[in-house]
Amino acid sequence: MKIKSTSSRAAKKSLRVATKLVPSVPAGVRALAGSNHKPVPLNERHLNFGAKWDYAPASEDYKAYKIAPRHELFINGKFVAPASGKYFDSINPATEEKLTEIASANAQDVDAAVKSARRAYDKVWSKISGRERGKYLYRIARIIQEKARELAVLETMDGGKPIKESRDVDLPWWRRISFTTPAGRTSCNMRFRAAIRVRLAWRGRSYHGIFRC
Amino acid sequence: MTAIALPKAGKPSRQPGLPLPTVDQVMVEERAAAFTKRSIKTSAKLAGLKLAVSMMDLTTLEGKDTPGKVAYLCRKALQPLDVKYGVPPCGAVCVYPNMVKYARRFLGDASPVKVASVATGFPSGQMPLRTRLEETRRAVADGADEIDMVINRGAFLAGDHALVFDEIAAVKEACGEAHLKVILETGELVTYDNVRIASQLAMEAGGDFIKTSTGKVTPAATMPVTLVMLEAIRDYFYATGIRIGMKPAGGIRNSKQALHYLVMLRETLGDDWLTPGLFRFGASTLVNDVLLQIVKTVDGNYQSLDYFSLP
Repeated sequence: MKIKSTSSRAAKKSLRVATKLVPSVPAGVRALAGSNHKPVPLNERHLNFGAKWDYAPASEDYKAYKIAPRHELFINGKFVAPASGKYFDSINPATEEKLTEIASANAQDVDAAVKSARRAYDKVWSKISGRERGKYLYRIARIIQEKARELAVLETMDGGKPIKESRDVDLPWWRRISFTTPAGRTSCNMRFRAAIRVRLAWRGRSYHGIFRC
Repeated sequence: MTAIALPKAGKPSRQPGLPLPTVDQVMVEERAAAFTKRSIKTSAKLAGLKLAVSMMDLTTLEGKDTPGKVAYLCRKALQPLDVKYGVPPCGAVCVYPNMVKYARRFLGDASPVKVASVATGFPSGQMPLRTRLEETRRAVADGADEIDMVINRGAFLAGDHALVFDEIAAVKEACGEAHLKVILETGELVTYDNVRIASQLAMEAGGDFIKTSTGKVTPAATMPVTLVMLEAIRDYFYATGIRIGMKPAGGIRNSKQALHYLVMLRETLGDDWLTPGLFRFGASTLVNDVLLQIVKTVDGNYQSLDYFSLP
């Protein structure tokens, strides 16, 4: 070391020791940093997104989810088998494995569903007050919120859209829809009242939520 | 975006012209923000932090620099932490031209830590071309491995891209064997379109690295600006097959931000750029925060900053 410093001999010695511990370049070769100057030929110009630096596994790990092997139709408050007895497969587009079987509804099933929905609306749903309806809707929204992460993963597995979309767009959207409430009435979530009032004043009629069956 | 007398589409006049897209500001900012959402914990975090240290350019660019300060910085770059943590040496030390010979003397000829020198009238660049080139030559003769040059922002913003191009080419020639980093000073360029044009200009003129800023002007490096430059590098690689390096400098204060930049780099350019030969951090206070986090990850508790040498 040719720099005239006032450090003690011991310090100088420790400095010399330290530099030996790091890997050194062979003497006489000043390896220069910088780009690869030899141009890569055209057919090899790929970006390599490999595993050099892997992040931690994401919290939305899909392997933990157990899905029932078969899903029936939900008509009139009960899960019923389809009239035709047919089921179709739901496939995970990413892995091409079958997730579950879903009931295939035909015209008969749709008729039954519409009839029961109409009956439910005429006899029950239209008769209860906005406040009560709000309670149901809010409860549904709350359950969706609690299970949001699982639902987002299932949506991704079922349809193939990235988790970023299903978690950050779809789930909040589903929750928000169930917050719309009947005109002017109170709902359990007071924050949305002002927004709804504006919307209803424009529309001139009321919302009754989307869950009618 | 257009100033008073810009040539059409800001195409540099010397080159046949690689396509020069305009930058979607909304998308760039959103995408840059998305890179901060990754989950990086435990072993991935430790690997990332060690990589960040190996990419660090320890910088001292003050009027009060002395040979002793430079020697001290070189010592820190060679071995940032105790051997048991397994931390690699830093990428380089970055000093003013007068200090290059002291750094070279301390590090010796064969050292894993490079000596980078700022040149060409750093930080403003408002010097006659002749002195700028002479400065570069002297720094290289004194032993600099890399030269960080500043572009002529006045000429660039006035639209004289040909002059900027010629100056970069002249400095590259003066560098000889040393590698050239071109500092765009993105804070003064202001718009993303300008940054894109300047990046492309710098790469076509012969730069080996493009660097965001001098660190003397705020705003310095931000994630959207860095993303624009990384995409310029990617497009240049696809067009020519040459890998250009990137260095964000200034504005990176803690290891969380450093990891965000590494995520952005990895997801934009891939594994080949995750090396100190193609990416550097220009920082002075960052290194201590990264070392602090490494110690915490390995030992399990935070040390006081008093136990780390001054940056």
